[in-house]
Parts: sequence; structure tokens; C-alpha cells
Amino acid sequence: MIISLDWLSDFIKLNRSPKEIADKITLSLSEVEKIEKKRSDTILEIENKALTHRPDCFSQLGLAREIAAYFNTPLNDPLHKLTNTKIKKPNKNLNLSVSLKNPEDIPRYCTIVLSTIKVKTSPEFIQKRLISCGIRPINNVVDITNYVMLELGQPLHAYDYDKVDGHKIEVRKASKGETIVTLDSVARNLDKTMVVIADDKKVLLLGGVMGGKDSEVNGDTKTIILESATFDGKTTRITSKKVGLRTDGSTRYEKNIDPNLAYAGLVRAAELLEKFAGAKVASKLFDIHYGLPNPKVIEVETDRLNTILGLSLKPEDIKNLLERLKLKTEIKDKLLTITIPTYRRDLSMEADIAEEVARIYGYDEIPTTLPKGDIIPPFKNPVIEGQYQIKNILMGLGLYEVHLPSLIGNETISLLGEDKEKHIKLLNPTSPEKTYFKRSLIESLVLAAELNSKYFNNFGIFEVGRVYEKTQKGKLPNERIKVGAIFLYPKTDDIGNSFYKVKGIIEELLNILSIPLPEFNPLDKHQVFQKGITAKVGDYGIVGKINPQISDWISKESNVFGFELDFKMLISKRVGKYYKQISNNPAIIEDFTFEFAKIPLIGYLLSEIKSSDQLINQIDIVGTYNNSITVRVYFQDPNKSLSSKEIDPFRKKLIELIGEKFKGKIKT
Amino acid sequence: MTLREELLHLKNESLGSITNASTVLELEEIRIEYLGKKGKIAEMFKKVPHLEDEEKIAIGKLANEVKIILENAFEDSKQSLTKKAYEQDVKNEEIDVTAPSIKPQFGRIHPVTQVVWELKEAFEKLGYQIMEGGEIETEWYNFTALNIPPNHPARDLQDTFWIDDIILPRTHTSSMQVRTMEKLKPPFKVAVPGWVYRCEREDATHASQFWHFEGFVVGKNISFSDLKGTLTLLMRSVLGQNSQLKFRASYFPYVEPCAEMSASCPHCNMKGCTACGGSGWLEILGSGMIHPKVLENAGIDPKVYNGFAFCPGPTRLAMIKYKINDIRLLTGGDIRFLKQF
Ligand SMILES: [Zn+2]
Repeated sequence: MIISLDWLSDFIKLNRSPKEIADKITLSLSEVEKIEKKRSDTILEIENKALTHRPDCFSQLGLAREIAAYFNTPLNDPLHKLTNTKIKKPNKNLNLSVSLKNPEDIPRYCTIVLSTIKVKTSPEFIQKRLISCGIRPINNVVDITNYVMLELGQPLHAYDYDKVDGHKIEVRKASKGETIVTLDSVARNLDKTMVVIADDKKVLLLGGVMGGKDSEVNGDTKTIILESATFDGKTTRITSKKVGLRTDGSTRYEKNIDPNLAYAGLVRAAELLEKFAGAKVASKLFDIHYGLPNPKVIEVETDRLNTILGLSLKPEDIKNLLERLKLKTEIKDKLLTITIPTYRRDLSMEADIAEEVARIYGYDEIPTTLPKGDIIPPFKNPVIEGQYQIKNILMGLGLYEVHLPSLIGNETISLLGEDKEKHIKLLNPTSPEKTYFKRSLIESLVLAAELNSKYFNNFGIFEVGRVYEKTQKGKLPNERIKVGAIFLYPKTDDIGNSFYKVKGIIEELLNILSIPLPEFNPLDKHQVFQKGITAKVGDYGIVGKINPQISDWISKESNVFGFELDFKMLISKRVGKYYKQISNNPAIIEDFTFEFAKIPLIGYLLSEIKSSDQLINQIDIVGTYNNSITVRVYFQDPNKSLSSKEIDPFRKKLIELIGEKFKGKIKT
Repeated sequence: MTLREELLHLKNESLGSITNASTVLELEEIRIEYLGKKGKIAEMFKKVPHLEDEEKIAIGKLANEVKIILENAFEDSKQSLTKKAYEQDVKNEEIDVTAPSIKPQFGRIHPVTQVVWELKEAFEKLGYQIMEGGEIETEWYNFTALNIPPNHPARDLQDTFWIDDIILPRTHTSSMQVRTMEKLKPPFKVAVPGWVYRCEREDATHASQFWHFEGFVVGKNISFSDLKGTLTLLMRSVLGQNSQLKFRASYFPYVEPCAEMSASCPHCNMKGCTACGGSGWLEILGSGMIHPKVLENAGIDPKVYNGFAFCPGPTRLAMIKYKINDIRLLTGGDIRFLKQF
């Protein structure tokens, strides 16, 4: 919204610099984004966002009212006079009929015929002010409708009377298949949710949005139908969205403007048209409505208001502040009774009044306090703390934390050989690369890996983030937090070693989090991971080499590994950390060589040996040779030195175990 | 040669060898040759008992003297050779300390996470319970419950992605307000970090996905000044104690009164620079007193309880703090970028 300081001077006399005015508006209403000199005028450009609930501020008068309140200066408000001015009696009566079928979409409809019009250029001051506010002057009739809209916030429209078939105006819903060519020369398809003004044969205006080309005022126009209507906010908004057209009119209407303004706008425009276009009233006034809003009354307790704001104002102080905003206030003891003008559609309750008091009191003058009462230290949320710890551990293990988009494209889904139907899809994506929600962190990690492979050949990146699983239509999806990582190692490195490095990172992560290490079970079939170099990490997730097609796409020079673990599953398995006695008693170290028909999975073998007896403190693989494996076992008792004799039974047990479970024979 | 002459000759000879020794190892060999158990001096001592009485005493004395002289000479030479050897080592080991380092393997935490953690710490000190919620939400919790009914113009303030008619990726973490209020009994203080989504064409300043960290408080007799005080403490803890803060009017349908906070630009002393677009100030958050209708929608009686809510954006704060000029870097996963934090 633009305010012209030249125009402002019609309503208030203010000896303040544009900067001072702008600062106050920024503090108490909405940010002034720009101060600009325009010929003999200065304009302030105010951000619209914070005016969403303030249709009254989409006018010079409305903003003048605000500024007058900030500086506590008198306001010359023409609204009361306009509202109480009677439209002149017509000299002659031109034929016009008006019918309104849907009052819920159009709370008020005022119209009148004006004749003896001389269409020409507008007077200098009108042109200048329109230009200041960013509207191109066209001719006196169109300019005056725009002028009144900018001045009072009431959109108006003028039809060429002679182009309205049957001199008949009908306000109704559009029917499917109807069209209108709007003033911008674009043909628009209408439907039955939209409101139109129509004559016998055609649609004249798309309700709340824009008039039609067919009945446009031009140099030949002699007689006009001047319309000042209140279109409903919601209907206007739906229409404007459907046809994809936002206008100065729809911006105001969608905020639900005051129906009382329709009449004042018509009076003001008729007055200007008489003066600058020679217009004479040529019909009776049509003013159709089914009851107009009356001023609301809000009661507020002084103490409540002070509590809400953290202030200690007296009732009179509050009254003074509110009355600067033309909110008439009566005091009875400490109860304030406030009468709200109908143009303040945004004020309906105590909280609204609190904001008005704060705005005029000044947000910069509000004290700074903290909520009363003790600060109770919050409990540690394991979901938050767990993520915090995992990120720190993985950083310590040399990985970079990435934040990657939750959305991926069809191309990525195809690359990974997945089914896009399983992914949640946006109805209105802004780019093909960001259309589907990822079902696995790997889906976006591969993209980041590809990017980084141009600059690095040996790295790990990780993300702790969500994946999204489709459920039923109309139901929320399942969101799961995952810990995912991708690693690139040069192809010259041993593949096994690279895998074991990644495996080691998972084990170290779990160790630090005190999560018991799960079994790593070989996994043969997976869309993304390579058969033979992939394992399930217990029930937590998966680790492995990314399969060759995807890996080659990422980098031809590197082997690519990755893992993905379920976060909630991990943290649910955390156990307490307890000190285990460190033994200084020497361990008895013995090597055992077993021979097998076929070498068993080493992980399984070691975990069997480890769990077979408490005295076994450590086991190492010394080597494998053909079909035999040599393991080194450390027997240690925390409380005493063991003798070779004492471990005899354990030796025997161990040999039996390997024989039974793995069909291994001890080699001596 | 008399025994005396022999002894004196031995002395001169060995002193000569000691002087010529160039390493401790060489010196040790010489020591063993002369002073060892079977060395030349020991040989001399073996001859003493066979001498005449008078000479026995004199030669014995002389032999002892020679032995002591040699021992001292060896010790002195050993010390100086050792010192020389160290000096040589130091000289040999000299390197160019200005040459590039060998990089240790240590990762990095994403800059936005770092800001989230700073905020989290500040929130926790003020007694806020940190919680997470769903990123994908119903229209009810994201909009309608927050006093933004369908077709309200305020829906335009946040361009929204849709999954179907009623499901959407949340446009703000305020979606957690009513969900949380339904579960907890006031009074409470809660803060919710997480991703939010906007249907925006992406460029250097617009992203379709960024971070929010919503804080809200519900209790009795909470005031607007409490909100201002809380924001001041919290934002200074992230932006620095000298940060200037501006509290001003704004509009969000789910708060009333409503306020926005701006902070002085940390890079230009409010003189204006590229980081702040020349104004010296940066918008950092929206806030306000929770709208009574929002409390009502959560089943909380607004006559008994009230509260405030506010939402700093970690993405925005990270960009301000680290002078990041392209928001897309934050979700790009580029190690060249991540390494810098
Ligand atoms: Zn700056």
C-alpha cells in the first residue's frame, strides 16, 4: 500500500519529516519499505502483509486516521459528512432496473445513473495523486472511480449506460459456460461459484475483481451507471484465485470491507464527477442491502488489559490512547466500554483492544519482563538428545552433517530403481526435482555424494532426518527419523577394508550410545545395495556397498558405501553404562586352529565363542588358511591369575562348541 | 721403556684417541680399549705388584692418577659428543613449518544445526521443554485451528504445498501449538524445532524448505512484556549481548497482540550492508500473545489461561550469523561449504 503525503495533508496537518512518519508506521502498523520523492509529492510504500486484516488501511483516509493517532493530532475526517449527504434528486429519470438475487455474496449494492458526462482528461491534482499511488490516469470518469477507491478504500465501477442492454442490471451467480472479456482484454471462463453483474444479454462485471470490456467507458460515453458495491470477501477471493487475477478491487474486497462505505463512496464519486465531468444525476439511487452493520461494543477491564500488556495504565490513560484511534470509550469504575466504528472490521474482542492500546502506547515503550514463577528445568527429551549425540559422534568419526531436501524428483527415483507410486507426491510442486517425499535418506544422499565426488574421493556425509511413508489418502503419513550416511572410497582401496571401515563406524556409534551390538546378517536382495557386500544391522537397518549402476552414476573412480538406521529403534535399545572391573591379572592367551568343510561366517563364529564363557575376554582372528581358521583367545579372570590347568575345562568346552555348531575340527 | 714411560705414553696415546673420537660409540670403544676390565690400564696395574717396593708405590700412584685423568677425559668427551650429537639431530630434523598441514579426520556439524543447538540451550535455560512434531500436517492444525479458516486472506501469507485436500507439509512449526496444548496441562513452556515447507520458486533468498524453532508458553497472567523480555534474552544469546532489538507491530491471525522483532545487523554496526539490504536492521521473528480462539480450539479456557508464541528461524539466523548469501547452500550437501563451520 502506498501513501501519498500530499494527499495525507487533506486530512491532517503534520509538521513531521517523511522519515519520522515512516518510523511511526513501521513501529505501530507495518513496515515502510520505501520512502520516495515523486515530483512535488513524497510517497511511503507500506508492506501489505501486516495489513491483511485492515481493509480500512487500504485507503489514504484510513492511513491518515492511523497517523493522526500516532502523533496525537486532529483528523479532518470526511466520512461522517459523506455518509449523511443525500444524493441529489434527478432532473430527468433515465430507465434503469436493478435486481439482486444473492445478498450473501453482495451485502450492499449502490448504483445510480449519471448523464451529461464529458469524458476528458482529469484535473492535474487527480492525475498527480493517482500516479503517486501507482495508477495510470485514463480519463476523468475512470480516474475518479480510482481516486475514490484510493481515498476511501471503496472500489467503484462505471459502465457506459448505452452499452448496457435493456438498461437492466442483474446481480447474480454466474452460470457454467458463461464468459467475460475483462478490461485487460482477457477472456475469462466463469462458473457458478462466481458473482457477476449482468444485463439482459451479457456479463458486465466479474464480481469484486474487474469490469468487462463490452461496457467500458470511453471518449464517446455520455451517460454512465456508477456502481459502488460491497462484494463478499470469501466469494471475491475464490473468484480471484480461480481466474488468476488480483486487482486493486479484489485486494480490498477479500478483506471484507465495510458495507457502510459503499454509500459514502458513491456520494464522493458523484460529487467529483459533477465537478470534473459535468455529471448530472439521472436516476433514483438504488441502495440494496438487507441490514447494515452497526458499531460493535467491546467491554474491557482495566486490570485485565494491564495484565495482558504488562503495563499499569489508569482507565483514563487507556481511554486517551483509544480515542486517538477514534474508538469512543466510556469509563465506569475500571470497566471500559468501547464503541468500534464499522470500518474497523478487525476489532471484536479484548485481545484486539489490547493490541490497539499497545500500538498507540508504542511497542518500544513496552517493558521487558519474564513470565512470573520459577523456571523448572525441562526433562531431557530422548528423541532430541539422541539426535544431538548421534550428530556429535558421527562428526567425531569424521563425517560431515548435511541437511538435504525432503523432496526428490522422479529421475532420482528411477535411478534408484524404485517405484514412484510408493512415494508421497505434492499436488503443486514447484520443480520436477522436488515433487516426491523421500522414503529413504539414501535417496537424497546419493545426490549429495555425486556433487561432492567432483571435488573429493574419500569422505563420508550423514543426515539425521525424516523419511515419509504413504498411508491411506486423507491420513497423515508415517514419518520416521533415520540416521543415514554415504561414503566414497577410492577404487584403489580394498573393497573389504572399505566395508569394514563403515561397519566400524556403526559399531563405534552404537558403543558410544551404549546400544548392544547387533548381528550383521548378510542380505542378498536389495534395490540399492549390492548383493554380497550388504548386511542387515540387526533390526536397526542396513549397511553395504551401493550397487554398481548407482555407484557409477555417483562416481566412476570410487566405491560407494552407505548405511541407514532407524533412530527410534536405536534409542529404544540404549542401556545404562556400568563400570566393568579392569583386570591387571595376566590373561592366558591361546591359539586354536579349526578345520572346516567350508569356512563359516566369521562374525557368527566369534560371537558364539565370545558368549560361550565369561572368562573369554577377547578373541582375535590370527588368520585363515584354506579351510582352517586360527583364533586367538584371551582367558582372563578379573579377580585372580589363572593357571593353564584352570582353563582346561574351558578349552574342552570351546572345542566341543565349534564341533557341534560349526562342524569344525581342532587341528593340533 | 720403563713402566713409568709406558704409562705416560699410554696416557698421551689415549688422550689423543679421545680427542679424535667423533661419536659416542667410537669413544666407548676407546674407553673399553684403555679402561675396560681387560684394557691397557688394567694390564699396567697387573704389572705393579711385581715391582720393587719403592717403585711399587710411585708407579701405583701414577697409574691411579692416569686412570683418573683418563676417566675424567672420557666423561668430558662423552658429554660434549652427546651434546654435539643432539645438536646434529636437531639440525637434521629441521623442517619447513610453513608447509601445509596433514588434515585430521574430523567432520562438521551443519551450520543450521549449530544455531538450532544454540537456541535449544537458551530455551532450556529458560525452562522450555523441547519437542518435535510431524512435518506433514492436517489443514486443521496448520491453518484452521490457528484462526486461519479456508479462504482467509492470511492463507496467502504462506504459499502452501498440498498433498491432498486436507494434508500438507506444514508451513510453520506453529502447527504444533494446538497439538501440544491438547496434550499438556498448563502451565507449560514448549519449543519445537523442525523443517517447514513453502511453495516457492527457489533462488538465493527463497527455499521450499527451511527451519523454524517455535516457542510457546501457556499459563496464567502471562503478559506482552513477558514476551518482549523473553525474546530479548533469547535473541541476544544467539546474536550477541550487544545486539539491538526492535519490537514492532505486525499481523499473524493466530496471535493478538502481534509483534515482529528486528535485530541490528551484526556486520555493519547498523550502517547498512549487503547482509541487511542496507537498512542496518534484519527481521528475525514473528510473535504475539496466543489468540483466544487458538486456545479455545485446543480446549483451553482463554478466560483462565493465556500465553505467547514466537518463532525464530534457524535458517535465517544462520544466514545472518555466518553471512551466507545463498539459502540453497544450506540444503546442497556440499562439503566445500560444510567444511567452513
Ligand atoms: Zn548490515
